[in-house]
Amino acid sequence: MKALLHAINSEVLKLKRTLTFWLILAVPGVVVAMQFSSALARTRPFHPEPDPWQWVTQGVFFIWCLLALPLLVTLETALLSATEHAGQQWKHLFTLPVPRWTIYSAKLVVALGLIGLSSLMLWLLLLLDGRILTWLRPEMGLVGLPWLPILRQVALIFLAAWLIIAIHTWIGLRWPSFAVASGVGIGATIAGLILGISSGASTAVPWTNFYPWLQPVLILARDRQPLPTTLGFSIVGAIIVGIVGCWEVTRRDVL
Amino acid sequence: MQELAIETSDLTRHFGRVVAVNQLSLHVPTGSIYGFLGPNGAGKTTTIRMLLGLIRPSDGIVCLLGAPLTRTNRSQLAHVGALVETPSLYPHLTGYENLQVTQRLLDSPHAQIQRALEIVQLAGDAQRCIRQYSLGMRQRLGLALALLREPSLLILDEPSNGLDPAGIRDMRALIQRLATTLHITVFLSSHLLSEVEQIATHVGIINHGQLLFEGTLPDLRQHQTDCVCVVVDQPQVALGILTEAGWQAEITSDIAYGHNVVHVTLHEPAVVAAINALLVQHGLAVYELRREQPSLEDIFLQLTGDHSPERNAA
Repeated sequence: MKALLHAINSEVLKLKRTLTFWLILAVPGVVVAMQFSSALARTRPFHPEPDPWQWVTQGVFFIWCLLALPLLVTLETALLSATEHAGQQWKHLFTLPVPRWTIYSAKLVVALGLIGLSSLMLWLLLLLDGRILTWLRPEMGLVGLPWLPILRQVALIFLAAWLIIAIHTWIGLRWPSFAVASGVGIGATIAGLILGISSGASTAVPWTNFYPWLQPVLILARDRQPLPTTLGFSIVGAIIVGIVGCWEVTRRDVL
Repeated sequence: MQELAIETSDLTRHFGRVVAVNQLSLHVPTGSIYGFLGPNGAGKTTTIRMLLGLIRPSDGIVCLLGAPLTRTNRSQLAHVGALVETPSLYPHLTGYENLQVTQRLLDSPHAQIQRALEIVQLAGDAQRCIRQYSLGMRQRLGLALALLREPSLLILDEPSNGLDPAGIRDMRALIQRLATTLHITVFLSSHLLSEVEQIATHVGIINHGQLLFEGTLPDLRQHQTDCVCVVVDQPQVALGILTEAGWQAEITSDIAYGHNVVHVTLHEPAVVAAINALLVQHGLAVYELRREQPSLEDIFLQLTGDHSPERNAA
């Protein structure tokens, strides 16, 4: 376990002066900014909502789960892997007297950490968004600062994304090409978008509930799948993909 | 201390139907600078990757520092430093940070970084980004990465590749210093034969995946007899006279002289005077008589069977 901590420590240093930190700030920033500008630009009167905060968060969460989060995962894991492929680091890393699984696992932990940090950014920016709208558009009727329910929702979405983080970490580390990593991510996200938009609770084909890139959005559509099923599928799936990916990548010959 | 730093037994690696390395048995003595020579595609890099556990052998055994290297037992790698082809560096980090990445992984003391930087003489440039490093500096930083573990064995794959003459000289001096002052066994692959000749105590020559020779440099030299280079006004006549007298002679072109010279195989030093006397007696003007020891490159080319016209002309 100590070796894993050293490997994570080493991974964190590699993030210096890379796009990865900017992305975890920029992507939630863009999503919240879209919602903010839409609320600000709205000319139609606001009708009294039973929960105005839900009106603020719902649109943000929908874009985040269906589009922004899968694309963020794709980019972050591809960038994390590219740092090793670009300089052919494997031929150095795998000659070090440290267990190879720690190097793979550290990558996965850092990828999870970065997406977790980005989710926290989304939470903070949503609160800031709501607070500013309270001042600028008082007619919206935003009252209080429901930080806990929003944090809970953000955390559940993050947990539901574990499986795609594990899948993309494996793809990124397995194939040296950035095009493969980003191509799979973009393709799978678009497919998830189509499946997510086209099928409501009543029309959904059962297997789509087990489409990995759709798991975060199922947190919002609990009528389609119970919460424990979504979380269980994502977390257990992530552990299995993590173990299989680690076994496969660390056993490969470094040619 | 074990006698052999590296020992392989019948090391073999197939890539599909291609046999990249075929029953290779290496014996690298502790404390030596071992030059591992071979033309491009001979199997040097595949061998090195097997020595470091990066590629699994199809057959055979690798022993490093007295212990067999397996998937489950890689503990001896703690005492082995390696530089495989180009150095593995993160261009967005500084020289110091690049070493720190490995130092954190190994959980070794911070002082090791400064020590390694000083050995490769990069302490003054440690805070610069790798993007600003020259190829020679990158190569030296790659060596510093290998030295971070305080190794007793260094495995270097073509460390002078791509360097300019000054960079090659610096790298050679550095490797020699590591071997003499830090008592590190160096296993060095190269196709720059003149490089290895200047620093190696032992050599192994590989071609088509098979070991053709292994031993010390004097052992290797015994593989070829010396010869005399004769510069005369009429090389064709001289060739006839010398061949008739029973010497083994041939005419080769010599760029330095701008015309052909006669090479005579030498079996004993005294014949130099006899050759001169014979040619003068026949009225030939002898401009130069030069005894030549074949270079390691000549022997290497002979062993690897490379008799391409370009090489022979050179």
